[in-house]
Amino acid sequence: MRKLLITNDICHETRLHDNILDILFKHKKEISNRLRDIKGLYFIDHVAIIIITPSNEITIFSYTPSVEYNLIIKELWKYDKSFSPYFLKDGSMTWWGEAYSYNYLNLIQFAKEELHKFTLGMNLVRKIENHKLVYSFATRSQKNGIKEFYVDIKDELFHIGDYGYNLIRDIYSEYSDSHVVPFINNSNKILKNKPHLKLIVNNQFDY
Amino acid sequence: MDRSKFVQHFSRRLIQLMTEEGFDSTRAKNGVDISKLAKISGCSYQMARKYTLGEALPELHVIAKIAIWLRTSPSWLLFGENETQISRHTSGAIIEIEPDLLKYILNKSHVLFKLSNNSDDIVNFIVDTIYDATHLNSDNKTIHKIIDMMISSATLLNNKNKDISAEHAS
Repeated sequence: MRKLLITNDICHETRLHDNILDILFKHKKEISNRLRDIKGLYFIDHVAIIIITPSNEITIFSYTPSVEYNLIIKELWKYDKSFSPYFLKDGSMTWWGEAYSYNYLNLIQFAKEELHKFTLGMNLVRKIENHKLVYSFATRSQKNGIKEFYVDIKDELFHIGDYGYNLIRDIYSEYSDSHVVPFINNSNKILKNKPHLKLIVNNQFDY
Repeated sequence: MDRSKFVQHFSRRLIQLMTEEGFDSTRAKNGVDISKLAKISGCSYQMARKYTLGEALPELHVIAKIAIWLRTSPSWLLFGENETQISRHTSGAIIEIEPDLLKYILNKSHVLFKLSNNSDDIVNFIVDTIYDATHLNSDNKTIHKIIDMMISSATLLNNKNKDISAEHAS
């Protein structure tokens, strides 16, 4: 895959990993096995983890790689700010549609959403050790209030994304030559305030 | 919704499903087979009992295992679309495929059944492959190449798992 160095007002100086297609399809079975835990939770029908390195190289791990493949092969990804480190703010949650360039909105919406019958897609962004992780989820649910529902469970979605990232991290490390692959701790908790025990020995403990 | 109510609703759905699937028991307080639940969850009897009493919530990966066992979706078990109706979640995606493409995929993928005893896993993977293949915006030659890559990925994973098992055995 040739390097695409983009300089425009959508995806600044971002480039796809040289082996992006290999990554999407060569590890299909392994990625599906690992991310299957996530699919089905909270009506999620698609999950992808987009990793943007400090040098703005993009790698993608997807349960449904045809979603991202179509964007790449038609070069529509350049006009989708889901792949822009400057648009994506740490801790943010945005809907897919908010990231589409106006001039390409219909095309991207068709390729990413309508083709797959997704009713809603969202990006959640986690910055860690100068990398940006974009947890990309989509649903086919037609329930009323689904958008508000996802806003309500934003924290849980972040936990799910962290969990998913740690599941594929070792596959990513095979392709990451120039940067140390970050690790996220405590990614498998889905609710806060879980009770825990603290061992106190000889009445001594830290305040 | 506060956490305690969330956990109680989860336990209610868990008990409902276990009863529906025939895992009831006259010995347990809430009428379900705790031992079986503990075995599936990979946890202690006491912890499994807490799941059914609404006193504890399993980890994400355990919820996924329980959902598969009880033939429902993790999302319904965890959240529950409708308290009185069990959701056999379907993704809502319908696949339309040309016969020649389907034949190509089935011919290429039949070897996968030799790699694993878990036919459900292989079938799910083939369905996922069919889904992706029918949604690729590309020419037939490229689609075939991608199908080959996806099916090879299953062989690759199988070999990787064999290597890991061999390492552990030695």
